[in-house]
Amino acid sequence: MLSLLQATSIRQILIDPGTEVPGLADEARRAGFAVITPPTLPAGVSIVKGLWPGIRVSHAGGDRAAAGPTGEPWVDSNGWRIRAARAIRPGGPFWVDAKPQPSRSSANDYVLAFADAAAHDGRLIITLDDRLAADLAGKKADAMTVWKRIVDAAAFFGADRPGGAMNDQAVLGVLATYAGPKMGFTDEVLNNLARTKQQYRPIASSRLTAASLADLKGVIYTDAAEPDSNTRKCVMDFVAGGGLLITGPIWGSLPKGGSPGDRVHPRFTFRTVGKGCVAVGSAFTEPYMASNDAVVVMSHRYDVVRFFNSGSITPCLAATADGRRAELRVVFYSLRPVEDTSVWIRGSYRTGRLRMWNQQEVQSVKLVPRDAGVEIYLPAVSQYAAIDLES
Amino acid sequence: MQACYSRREWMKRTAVTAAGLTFSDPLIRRAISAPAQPVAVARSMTYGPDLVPTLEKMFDQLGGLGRIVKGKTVAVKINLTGSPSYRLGYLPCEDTHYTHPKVIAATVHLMSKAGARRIRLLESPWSTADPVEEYILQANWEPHDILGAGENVEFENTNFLGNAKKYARMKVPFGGYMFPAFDLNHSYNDCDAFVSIAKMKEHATAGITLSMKNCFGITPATIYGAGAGIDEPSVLPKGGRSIVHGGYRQPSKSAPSEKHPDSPRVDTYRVPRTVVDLVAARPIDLAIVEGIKTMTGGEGPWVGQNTAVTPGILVAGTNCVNTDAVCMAAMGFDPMADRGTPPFERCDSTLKLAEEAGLGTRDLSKIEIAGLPVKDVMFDFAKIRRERGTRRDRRSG
Repeated sequence: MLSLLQATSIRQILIDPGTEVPGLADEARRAGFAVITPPTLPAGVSIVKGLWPGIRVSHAGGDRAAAGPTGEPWVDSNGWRIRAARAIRPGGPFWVDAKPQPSRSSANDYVLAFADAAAHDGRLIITLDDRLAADLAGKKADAMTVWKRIVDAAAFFGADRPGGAMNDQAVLGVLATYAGPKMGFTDEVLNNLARTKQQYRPIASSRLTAASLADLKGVIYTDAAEPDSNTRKCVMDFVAGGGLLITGPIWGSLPKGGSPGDRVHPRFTFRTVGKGCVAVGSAFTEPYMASNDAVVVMSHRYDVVRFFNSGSITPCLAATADGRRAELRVVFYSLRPVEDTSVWIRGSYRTGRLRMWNQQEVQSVKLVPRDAGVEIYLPAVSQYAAIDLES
Repeated sequence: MQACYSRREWMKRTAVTAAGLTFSDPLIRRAISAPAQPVAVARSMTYGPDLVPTLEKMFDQLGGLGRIVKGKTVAVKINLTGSPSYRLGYLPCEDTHYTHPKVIAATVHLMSKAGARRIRLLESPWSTADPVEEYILQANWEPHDILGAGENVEFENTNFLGNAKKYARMKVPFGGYMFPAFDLNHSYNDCDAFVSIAKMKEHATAGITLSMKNCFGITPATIYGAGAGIDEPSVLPKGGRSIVHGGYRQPSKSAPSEKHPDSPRVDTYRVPRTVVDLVAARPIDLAIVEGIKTMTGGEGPWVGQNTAVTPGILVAGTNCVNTDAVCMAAMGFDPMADRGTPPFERCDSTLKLAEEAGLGTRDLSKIEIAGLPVKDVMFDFAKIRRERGTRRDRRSG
């Protein structure tokens, strides 16, 4: 196995307790690899336990994709997990521990796993499925081809980092403690919110300040308990300044002096507070409804990115503080190239450069001004694309 | 698949055709007396500043908008078929398969100018109860461009109950081919005038989709859709109108069921008939069909083998059958075509069924054309269709 890692960009080997092979760790160190044995991790690193990303295949139907609540294919992604972990421990790095699924273990599936982590500034811990591992040990040609693709992806995504400090361009914040036994609803809201393609940011209430909400249009409160006093003050100040709070009845009392809003929604009542509004959901317990309702209650008017003909994707938009540069990373979960995809990005950008993991050259893309942003027409894309924008 | 006539009806038809003298068949009587109203035809190659004066002139040629809308609540069915993120190539939806927002806004502006008291823009967007504004924002439209085009303008999603307490039951006056009545969103009843603004397109199931087929979407998916409740309407719409297409089950039991549950369960039979039933139940007072930019090959990019085209055609009329007949001619098709003839190779003709129901004539010799002659605006969808069929045959052969 070590011989396979030589002359690759992979320089760290993670050995789980109880899985040691006698002599492997010493041999790896002699060969120049860093050997990591959890729970001891390099400084700053956190491990995010995740699922193998991709379109979930139905157990009953062979190659048929399993459907989500709308009948659309359900996508497993670790992006929201990485973001949730970052909300509690800003900075990272975050390593994603996800075991390959036997039904989704082609070379493209491995690339997708890399892309899914990298798009959210995470890094995939490469775990081989049993068959691949056995075939590699037997030096089978097909397995070596898959391994080459994994190595290439590791090199690309290891080097593919944002140029300069960038902040995620979120429309909605998801505010919760991100701790304790009742995280299930919050987790599922994040999971479903990611599927809506709306740009979001998890915010841990333990780290909440006014600055946490400053660039958002709305915040969803998902905890099962009333907010503490700091959370209540920060959020109400945000609302009074023009923001939107989306919550269930658990939020409790609202400031005096507000007035009923004139918006109508079958599951929400609205109350204006200062320049902003609070939307209280009557049935704010079902995460799919909560997340999809939140996107509509927030309104697509504030979208920062829109995709056309993309299929199942996860877009991640980040920008510099001055707004002059931005980067859009997109994971395409289709294992076939996706064609005729357009993307609209809010902002007055003038140049764009497209990076795709399976192409050596970075290519310029034409930006077509449209409304308050630019449209870009992408060539056929496989698994991952990143667009660098400058104004 | 032949029309589902009884033997007795078939014998009557044959006798009428042979003798040309017996008019006892009610369908024949209605077809012969089917009304004819003027249809205005114009050319506009863009959605630019000439659009408003062009439409205004067309409406004047029909006798003026005022007589249709002044002092009234006007319901307007637009066409937003398919997801707003589904494009034909890179082209925006409005350039291929959605009614263009500039045509909607121009019409709203002119109706408001003509004295409409309230204008309600209606659509049943795919599988959602979300506001129509949110739907069109996702297509990169700006709702205020339309809402601000006139006085007292609003959108309503008619794919579910909406803002009312109950659905409106609307009966089919001639009894109906498929359904005797429909339960619809209140907006289709709570109006004084009803306008259909369609995109000029072919249709994979019904051959063509014009002002009448546009109204297929007035049925709520909570009753007529894949996820409709069995006994009562579901709260939220889910899926498309596969119940109507395929007839594998009946609509929610609270709504009128099909008249003939033993009739063919084939979409090319069912859809044209349901369309006629719908436009009879909810008559169209003004039919507008815009084919300035559109697509060939079907009603949306999911059909396949589609091409974006710029026919530059606008058609309007106060009788939907007459209007659609003129549109067909402008597309290079014969409005008198029957099943087996393009564009109805695989389906029954909605126009023929509508004519036989007495809704309007499809006979161009009986229809007065105002504005440009059809031959001056004709864009040959029929030729493109033939060539597409030839290419398909070559590939499969």
